[in-house]
Amino acid sequence: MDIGSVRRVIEVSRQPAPTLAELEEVEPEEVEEEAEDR
Amino acid sequence: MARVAGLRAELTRLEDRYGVQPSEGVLRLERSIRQRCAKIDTLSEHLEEIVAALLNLESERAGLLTGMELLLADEISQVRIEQNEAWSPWPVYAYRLWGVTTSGLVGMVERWPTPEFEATCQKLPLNPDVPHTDERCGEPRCGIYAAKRPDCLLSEVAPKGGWAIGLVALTGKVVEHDEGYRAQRATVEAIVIHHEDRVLAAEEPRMVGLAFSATVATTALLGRPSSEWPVERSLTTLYAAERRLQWTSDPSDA
Repeated sequence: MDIGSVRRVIEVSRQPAPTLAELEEVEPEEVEEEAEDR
Repeated sequence: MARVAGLRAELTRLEDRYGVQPSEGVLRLERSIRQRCAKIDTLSEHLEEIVAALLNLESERAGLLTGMELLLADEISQVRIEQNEAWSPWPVYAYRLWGVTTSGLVGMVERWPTPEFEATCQKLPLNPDVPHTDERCGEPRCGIYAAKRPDCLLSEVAPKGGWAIGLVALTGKVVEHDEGYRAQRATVEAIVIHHEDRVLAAEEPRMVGLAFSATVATTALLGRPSSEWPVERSLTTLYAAERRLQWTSDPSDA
Protein backbone atom coordinates (compact mmCIF):
# COMPACT_ATOMS: atom_id res chain seq x y z
CA MET A 1 0.00 0.00 0.00
CA ASP A 2 1.66 3.19 -1.19
CA ILE A 3 0.70 6.14 0.96
CA GLY A 4 3.35 8.55 -0.27
CA SER A 5 5.91 10.58 1.62
CA VAL A 6 5.88 11.48 5.32
CA ARG A 7 4.31 14.85 6.05
CA ARG A 8 4.27 15.09 9.83
CA VAL A 9 3.60 13.30 13.10
CA ILE A 10 0.33 13.75 14.96
CA GLU A 11 0.15 12.81 18.63
CA VAL A 12 -3.40 11.72 19.43
CA SER A 13 -3.90 11.43 23.15
CA ARG A 14 -6.72 12.18 25.52
CA GLN A 15 -7.62 10.84 28.92
CA PRO A 16 -10.99 9.23 28.34
CA ALA A 17 -13.80 11.00 30.17
CA PRO A 18 -15.10 8.92 33.09
CA THR A 19 -18.36 7.11 32.49
CA LEU A 20 -21.37 7.76 34.70
CA ALA A 21 -20.86 4.34 36.30
CA GLU A 22 -17.25 5.20 37.14
CA LEU A 23 -18.31 8.52 38.65
CA GLU A 24 -20.88 6.76 40.83
CA GLU A 25 -18.20 4.35 42.06
CA VAL A 26 -16.38 7.23 43.80
CA GLU A 27 -17.33 7.28 47.47
CA PRO A 28 -18.07 10.68 49.05
CA GLU A 29 -15.37 9.98 51.68
CA GLU A 30 -12.72 9.73 48.92
CA VAL A 31 -13.71 13.15 47.57
CA GLU A 32 -13.57 14.65 51.08
CA GLU A 33 -10.15 13.11 51.71
CA GLU A 34 -8.82 14.52 48.45
CA ALA A 35 -10.19 17.96 49.35
CA GLU A 36 -8.49 17.75 52.75
CA ASP A 37 -5.19 16.74 51.13
CA ARG A 38 -5.33 19.84 48.97
CA MET B 1 25.82 14.72 83.76
CA ALA B 2 24.21 17.01 86.40
CA ARG B 3 24.32 14.33 89.08
CA VAL B 4 28.01 13.62 88.35
CA ALA B 5 28.79 17.35 88.45
CA GLY B 6 27.01 17.67 91.79
CA LEU B 7 28.88 14.74 93.29
CA ARG B 8 32.23 16.08 91.97
CA ALA B 9 31.53 19.50 93.54
CA GLU B 10 30.75 17.81 96.87
CA LEU B 11 34.05 15.88 96.69
CA THR B 12 35.91 19.15 95.95
CA ARG B 13 34.36 20.74 99.04
CA LEU B 14 35.54 17.78 101.11
CA GLU B 15 39.02 18.10 99.55
CA ASP B 16 39.12 21.73 100.71
CA ARG B 17 37.66 20.91 104.05
CA TYR B 18 39.94 18.01 104.95
CA GLY B 19 42.91 18.39 102.56
CA VAL B 20 42.30 14.97 100.99
CA GLN B 21 43.09 14.15 97.35
CA PRO B 22 40.71 12.47 94.87
CA SER B 23 41.63 8.93 93.89
CA GLU B 24 43.47 8.15 90.65
CA GLY B 25 40.31 6.45 89.39
CA VAL B 26 38.26 9.66 89.75
CA LEU B 27 40.96 11.73 88.03
CA ARG B 28 41.30 9.21 85.17
CA LEU B 29 37.57 9.09 84.58
CA GLU B 30 37.40 12.88 84.78
CA ARG B 31 40.01 13.21 82.01
CA SER B 32 38.25 10.68 79.83
CA ILE B 33 34.91 12.47 80.25
CA ARG B 34 36.50 15.86 79.38
CA GLN B 35 38.04 14.37 76.22
CA ARG B 36 34.70 12.92 75.14
CA CYS B 37 32.91 16.22 75.79
CA ALA B 38 35.45 18.08 73.67
CA LYS B 39 35.01 15.62 70.79
CA ILE B 40 31.22 15.81 71.07
CA ASP B 41 31.38 19.63 70.92
CA THR B 42 33.63 19.51 67.83
CA LEU B 43 31.41 17.01 66.04
CA SER B 44 28.27 18.97 66.96
CA GLU B 45 29.75 22.04 65.32
CA HIS B 46 30.48 20.00 62.16
CA LEU B 47 26.99 18.51 62.28
CA GLU B 48 25.45 21.98 62.30
CA GLU B 49 27.59 22.89 59.29
CA ILE B 50 26.59 19.66 57.51
CA VAL B 51 22.86 20.19 58.18
CA ALA B 52 23.14 23.81 56.99
CA ALA B 53 24.99 22.69 53.83
CA LEU B 54 22.41 19.93 53.24
CA LEU B 55 19.50 22.35 53.53
CA ASN B 56 21.25 24.77 51.20
CA LEU B 57 21.93 22.05 48.61
CA GLU B 58 18.33 20.84 48.77
CA SER B 59 17.11 24.39 48.19
CA GLU B 60 19.51 24.81 45.24
CA ARG B 61 18.44 21.46 43.79
CA ALA B 62 14.74 22.46 43.99
CA GLY B 63 15.53 25.65 42.06
CA LEU B 64 17.58 23.76 39.46
CA LEU B 65 14.83 21.15 39.00
CA THR B 66 12.28 23.90 38.39
CA GLY B 67 14.61 25.45 35.81
CA MET B 68 15.27 22.04 34.23
CA GLU B 69 11.51 21.35 33.99
CA LEU B 70 10.92 24.64 32.20
CA LEU B 71 13.90 24.11 29.89
CA LEU B 72 12.88 20.55 29.02
CA ALA B 73 9.29 21.60 28.31
CA ASP B 74 10.61 24.41 26.11
CA GLU B 75 12.99 22.13 24.19
CA ILE B 76 10.29 19.48 23.69
CA SER B 77 7.97 22.18 22.39
CA GLN B 78 10.70 23.54 20.09
CA VAL B 79 11.48 20.11 18.62
CA ARG B 80 7.78 19.48 17.99
CA ILE B 81 7.38 22.88 16.32
CA GLU B 82 10.54 22.42 14.21
CA GLN B 83 9.40 18.96 13.14
CA ASN B 84 5.90 20.26 12.36
CA GLU B 85 4.42 17.81 14.87
CA ALA B 86 0.76 18.23 15.78
CA TRP B 87 -1.29 17.14 18.78
CA SER B 88 -4.94 16.20 18.77
CA PRO B 89 -7.35 15.03 21.46
CA TRP B 90 -9.55 13.51 18.76
CA PRO B 91 -8.75 10.43 16.70
CA VAL B 92 -7.66 10.66 13.10
CA TYR B 93 -10.24 8.88 10.93
CA ALA B 94 -9.07 6.88 7.92
CA TYR B 95 -9.89 3.82 5.85
CA ARG B 96 -8.33 0.43 5.32
CA LEU B 97 -8.86 -2.95 3.70
CA TRP B 98 -8.82 -6.50 5.02
CA GLY B 99 -8.97 -9.81 3.31
CA VAL B 100 -11.64 -12.31 4.41
CA THR B 101 -10.42 -15.81 5.22
CA THR B 102 -12.04 -18.69 7.05
CA SER B 103 -10.15 -17.63 10.18
CA GLY B 104 -11.34 -14.03 9.98
CA LEU B 105 -10.19 -10.62 8.79
CA VAL B 106 -6.57 -10.38 7.74
CA GLY B 107 -4.55 -7.20 7.26
CA MET B 108 -1.37 -6.81 5.24
CA VAL B 109 0.66 -8.75 7.79
CA GLU B 110 -1.57 -10.57 10.22
CA ARG B 111 -5.09 -11.39 11.33
CA TRP B 112 -7.08 -8.88 13.32
CA PRO B 113 -8.90 -10.93 15.98
CA THR B 114 -10.69 -7.87 17.38
CA PRO B 115 -11.58 -4.37 16.12
CA GLU B 116 -8.71 -2.93 18.21
CA PHE B 117 -5.17 -3.33 17.01
CA GLU B 118 -1.81 -2.03 18.22
CA ALA B 119 1.22 -1.89 15.96
CA THR B 120 4.60 -3.42 16.77
CA CYS B 121 7.86 -3.25 14.85
CA GLN B 122 9.41 -6.65 14.24
CA LYS B 123 12.68 -5.12 13.06
CA LEU B 124 13.14 -2.79 16.04
CA PRO B 125 11.16 -4.43 18.85
CA LEU B 126 13.12 -2.60 21.56
CA ASN B 127 12.27 0.86 20.22
CA PRO B 128 8.72 1.54 21.43
CA ASP B 129 8.17 4.75 19.43
CA VAL B 130 6.06 2.92 16.83
CA PRO B 131 5.47 3.70 14.00
CA HIS B 132 9.08 4.68 13.44
CA THR B 133 9.80 7.86 11.54
CA ASP B 134 13.52 7.38 11.01
CA GLU B 135 14.75 5.12 8.23
CA ARG B 136 16.09 2.36 10.45
CA CYS B 137 13.26 -0.13 10.21
CA GLY B 138 13.34 -0.09 6.40
CA GLU B 139 10.57 -0.94 3.96
CA PRO B 140 7.77 -1.55 4.48
CA ARG B 141 7.76 0.83 7.37
CA CYS B 142 6.03 -0.28 10.54
CA GLY B 143 2.60 0.85 11.75
CA ILE B 144 -1.05 0.29 10.97
CA TYR B 145 -1.63 1.55 7.43
CA ALA B 146 -4.76 3.46 6.50
CA ALA B 147 -5.78 5.64 3.56
CA LYS B 148 -7.23 9.14 3.74
CA ARG B 149 -9.88 8.23 1.16
CA PRO B 150 -11.66 4.89 0.81
CA ASP B 151 -12.19 5.05 -2.97
CA CYS B 152 -8.48 4.71 -3.76
CA LEU B 153 -8.44 1.42 -1.83
CA LEU B 154 -10.89 -0.27 -4.19
CA SER B 155 -8.21 -0.76 -6.85
CA GLU B 156 -6.35 -2.95 -4.35
CA VAL B 157 -9.27 -5.31 -3.73
CA ALA B 158 -8.26 -8.86 -4.62
CA PRO B 159 -10.46 -10.23 -7.42
CA LYS B 160 -10.85 -13.56 -5.61
CA GLY B 161 -12.01 -14.14 -2.07
CA GLY B 162 -13.83 -11.85 0.25
CA TRP B 163 -12.73 -8.43 1.33
CA ALA B 164 -13.71 -5.79 3.82
CA ILE B 165 -13.35 -2.06 3.94
CA GLY B 166 -13.56 -0.14 7.18
CA LEU B 167 -13.37 3.19 8.92
CA VAL B 168 -10.70 3.25 11.62
CA ALA B 169 -10.00 5.72 14.42
CA LEU B 170 -6.25 6.15 14.70
CA THR B 171 -4.72 7.11 18.03
CA GLY B 172 -1.35 7.31 19.74
CA LYS B 173 1.47 8.22 17.37
CA VAL B 174 0.01 8.81 13.92
CA VAL B 175 2.38 9.50 11.03
CA GLU B 176 0.66 11.44 8.27
CA HIS B 177 1.76 10.68 4.69
CA ASP B 178 0.56 12.26 1.44
CA GLU B 179 -2.20 9.72 0.85
CA GLY B 180 -2.66 8.05 4.21
CA TYR B 181 -1.35 7.32 7.67
CA ARG B 182 0.71 4.88 9.68
CA ALA B 183 -0.62 4.62 13.23
CA GLN B 184 0.30 3.16 16.59
CA ARG B 185 -3.27 2.11 17.46
CA ALA B 186 -6.46 1.66 15.48
CA THR B 187 -10.05 0.97 16.43
CA VAL B 188 -12.51 -0.06 13.76
CA GLU B 189 -15.58 2.17 13.97
CA ALA B 190 -17.47 0.80 10.97
CA ILE B 191 -16.87 -1.99 8.48
CA VAL B 192 -18.47 -3.42 5.34
CA ILE B 193 -17.63 -7.05 4.56
CA HIS B 194 -18.06 -8.48 1.08
CA HIS B 195 -17.93 -12.25 1.14
CA GLU B 196 -19.32 -14.59 -1.48
CA ASP B 197 -22.80 -13.33 -2.30
CA ARG B 198 -23.38 -11.46 0.97
CA VAL B 199 -22.51 -8.00 2.27
CA LEU B 200 -22.49 -7.13 5.95
CA ALA B 201 -22.31 -3.52 7.12
CA ALA B 202 -21.58 -3.05 10.82
CA GLU B 203 -21.23 0.11 12.87
CA GLU B 204 -22.71 -0.75 16.25
CA PRO B 205 -19.72 -1.78 18.45
CA ARG B 206 -21.03 -5.26 19.36
CA MET B 207 -21.79 -6.00 15.73
CA VAL B 208 -18.34 -4.78 14.68
CA GLY B 209 -16.83 -7.08 17.32
CA LEU B 210 -18.85 -10.00 16.00
CA ALA B 211 -17.73 -9.19 12.47
CA PHE B 212 -14.14 -9.68 13.59
CA SER B 213 -14.60 -12.70 15.86
CA ALA B 214 -16.83 -14.69 13.50
CA THR B 215 -16.46 -12.99 10.15
CA VAL B 216 -17.69 -15.62 7.71
CA ALA B 217 -20.59 -16.88 9.81
CA THR B 218 -21.82 -13.40 10.74
CA THR B 219 -21.69 -12.24 7.13
CA ALA B 220 -23.51 -15.34 5.90
CA LEU B 221 -26.21 -15.07 8.56
CA LEU B 222 -26.76 -11.33 8.84
CA GLY B 223 -25.46 -10.02 5.50
CA ARG B 224 -27.62 -8.76 2.68
CA PRO B 225 -27.51 -10.13 -0.86
CA SER B 226 -24.61 -8.52 -2.73
CA SER B 227 -26.94 -7.89 -5.68
CA GLU B 228 -28.68 -5.26 -3.52
CA TRP B 229 -25.41 -3.67 -2.42
CA PRO B 230 -23.17 -2.04 -5.06
CA VAL B 231 -19.62 -1.33 -4.01
CA GLU B 232 -20.26 2.43 -4.02
CA ARG B 233 -22.77 1.91 -1.22
CA SER B 234 -19.96 0.61 0.98
CA LEU B 235 -18.14 3.89 0.49
CA THR B 236 -21.20 6.04 1.23
CA THR B 237 -21.89 3.94 4.34
CA LEU B 238 -18.38 4.60 5.66
CA TYR B 239 -18.49 8.29 4.70
CA ALA B 240 -21.73 8.64 6.67
CA ALA B 241 -20.20 6.86 9.66
CA GLU B 242 -17.22 9.21 9.59
CA ARG B 243 -19.49 12.26 9.42
CA ARG B 244 -21.40 11.06 12.49
CA LEU B 245 -18.15 10.52 14.40
CA GLN B 246 -16.74 13.89 13.37
CA TRP B 247 -19.88 15.63 14.57
CA THR B 248 -19.88 13.92 17.93
CA SER B 249 -16.19 14.66 18.52
CA ASP B 250 -16.33 18.28 17.41
CA PRO B 251 -15.58 20.52 20.44
CA SER B 252 -17.91 23.22 19.09
CA ASP B 253 -20.82 20.85 19.78
CA ALA B 254 -20.11 20.85 23.51
